Amino acid sequence: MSLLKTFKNGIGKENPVFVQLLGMCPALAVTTTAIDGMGMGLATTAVLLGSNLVISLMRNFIPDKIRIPSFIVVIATFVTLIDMLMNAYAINLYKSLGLFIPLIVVNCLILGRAESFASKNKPFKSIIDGLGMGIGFTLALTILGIVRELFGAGSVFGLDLFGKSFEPALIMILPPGAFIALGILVALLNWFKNKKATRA
Amino acid sequence: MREVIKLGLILLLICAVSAVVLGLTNWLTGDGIIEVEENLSSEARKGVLKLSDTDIVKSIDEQSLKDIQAEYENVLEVYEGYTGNNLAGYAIKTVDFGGYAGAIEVITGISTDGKIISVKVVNHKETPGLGANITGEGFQSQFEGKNTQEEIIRTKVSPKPDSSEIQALGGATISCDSVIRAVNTAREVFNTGLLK
Repeated sequence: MSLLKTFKNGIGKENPVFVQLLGMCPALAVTTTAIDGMGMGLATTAVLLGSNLVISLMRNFIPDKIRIPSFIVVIATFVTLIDMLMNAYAINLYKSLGLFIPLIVVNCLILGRAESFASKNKPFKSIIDGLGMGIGFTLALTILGIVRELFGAGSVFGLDLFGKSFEPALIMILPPGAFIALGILVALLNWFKNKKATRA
Repeated sequence: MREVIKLGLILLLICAVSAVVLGLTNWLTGDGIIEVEENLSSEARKGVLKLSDTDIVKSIDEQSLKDIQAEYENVLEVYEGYTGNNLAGYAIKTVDFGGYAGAIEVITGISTDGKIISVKVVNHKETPGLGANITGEGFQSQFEGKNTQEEIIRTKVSPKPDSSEIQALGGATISCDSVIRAVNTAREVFNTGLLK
């Protein structure tokens, strides 16, 4: 697979959230607003880049039998590293994202990419894969956040759109809204895809 | 048997490298983190008392704090704010465990003449976009100017003027109640413990 294809793979065809349905915990839990979704996506991308690179470099050193615990240690190290660095040097970002950072350790998207891509490919290609998947994940979380914030609070990225007369559907911000929004978005995407396939 | 030892050693090596990397980072950032957190808390304390950067805010002595905490266990910190040599007010940090998603910490600034200067929610885990709006200016500013002698009450409609009522945020009553309880604790501490 060419580099460009690897990169585009994560954004569209194998989008982690909308197609592979990976990383559902953050996708459902932290997409109440567009900005939170985007922040979580970017933080995950940073960890994914780091873990993909290191795991790819170590792929010939780690025996198959203990690959999962080894991957988890690498991922957890990166998450803790980013947590401490952000706390010390980017306090404002940390205040708004701090809650989500520890959640990244258990994001199956990162373990999934380590297992199915980084452990079988060269470092540079693994970085490209991490970048593509990260951007795809960020996009999906941002879109989900925009939809939920729009219907649940009447704003997008904190910008009030409808004024005071708009009665927001609070359910969209509450947990059930996450399932409803995600379900409808995945259904819409599949509908488009099927339509395109039958036409071609 | 030999394979188990080999696998164990490799895992040990990976964990050891990880521990060294994290230890180094912790050593490099540790002081920075404490300093940043301290600056933030000190800014928050000055903020609720509406003091300027040059004014001094200091903790009350340990014994007095312990006496207060013996009576009100939800009090975390009590600071005195000075403009020049004059005592301007108290910044009281209280916690309430009845939030929607855990504990909520609030700093309440109270002037020496018994008025709430302002209130700031400093730590919470409420739902973003809903309960988390308690950190918004619109909710917090409602506390400004309230008299410490009257208990603060939550209402769901527009509060009566000059009353001690605070209007709850739509869909976030539990979070708002929690903040109000924390402020009420601070108010009582001021009334019984600090007002001499």
